[in-house]
Amino acid sequence: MKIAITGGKAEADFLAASLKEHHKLAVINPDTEYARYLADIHNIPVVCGDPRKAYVLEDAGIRHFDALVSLMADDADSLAVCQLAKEKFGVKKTIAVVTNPRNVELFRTFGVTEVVSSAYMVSQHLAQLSTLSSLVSSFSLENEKIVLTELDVSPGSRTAGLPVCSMHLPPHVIIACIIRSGNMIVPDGQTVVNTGDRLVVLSAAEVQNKLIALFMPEKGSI
Amino acid sequence: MFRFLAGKQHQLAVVAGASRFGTQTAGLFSEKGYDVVIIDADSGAFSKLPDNFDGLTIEGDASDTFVLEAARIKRAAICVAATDSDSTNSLIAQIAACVYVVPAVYCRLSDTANADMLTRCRIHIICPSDLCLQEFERQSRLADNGGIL
Repeated sequence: MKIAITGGKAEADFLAASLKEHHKLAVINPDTEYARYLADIHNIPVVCGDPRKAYVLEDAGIRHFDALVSLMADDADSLAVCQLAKEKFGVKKTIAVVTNPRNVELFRTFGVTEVVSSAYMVSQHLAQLSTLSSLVSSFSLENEKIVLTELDVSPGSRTAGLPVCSMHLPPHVIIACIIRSGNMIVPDGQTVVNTGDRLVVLSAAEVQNKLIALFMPEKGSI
Repeated sequence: MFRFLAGKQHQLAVVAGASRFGTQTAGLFSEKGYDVVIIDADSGAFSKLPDNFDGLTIEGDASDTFVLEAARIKRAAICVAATDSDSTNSLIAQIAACVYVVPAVYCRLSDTANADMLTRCRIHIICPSDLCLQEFERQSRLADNGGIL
């Protein structure tokens, strides 16, 4: 892939080191000293300039690149770089690393493909830890909008012994598979779920707690 | 200030950035009978506000949605992005136009390379160097007779 890395210090250094073997990189850094350091240590071409300027991106030759990562110190600058790359240079995917977690959803609505915020990730992770018991593990997709939940059917849960069609599952939930004594079963509506079964469930994030409650003991701790 | 707190529903104008342009615009809105909120990260910048300004000042980052909501952007009739950073103005204008659907949004930009993206969102662009050029052409009548003076 052809990947552009704009702005940033240690993050740019790390990305250049891990990507340069297998990808064609264009590195753009506004800091003269740091641009020189990156070029020397990684032995790659680095454009020293302000990536918010169209002529700088032109110089770096990023037209129709597969991806651009923006690591600018100011979130607004990262958005400006991503939008310029997408609009004027046809860059396919743009990734912005932001400091304000409220900009994650916002920048996605403004056309940035992926928005990454460490505070946002930590808060999502802690929220998951605090709601899920040790019986449950979960994995998020699509910026935390979709979750894959793995859970065990507890004795005394109101769904144990019922066929899938009578469980009154919330909307946007699908039981992807049942793991029973090491074997995988892809359920249909008639499949009965038993205590001790492990389920892998795909659902919208907002119904996850409701879903977990269905498979926990009725007077559970959740 | 008192007019604002009394809660009468005048049209609301939100000005982001107490630059020279921002403060003068805020004064103009006051004069025309708008409720005005002006936002700047540096409270010292408000000293540039003209005497006719009678709105509210908020110290904060105007590109943060929390700060804009504190400025009641939801009920704004007009929003002017007038900080000294193009990126910040572009972000504020997009938030105002696309998220809060403010009817009239103005954005000050020095570099208009990606301005058409904003005009597609019904954002009005104000570019000082373009205005200078137009004024120069007018005063020098360069456009009329094909030669300077």
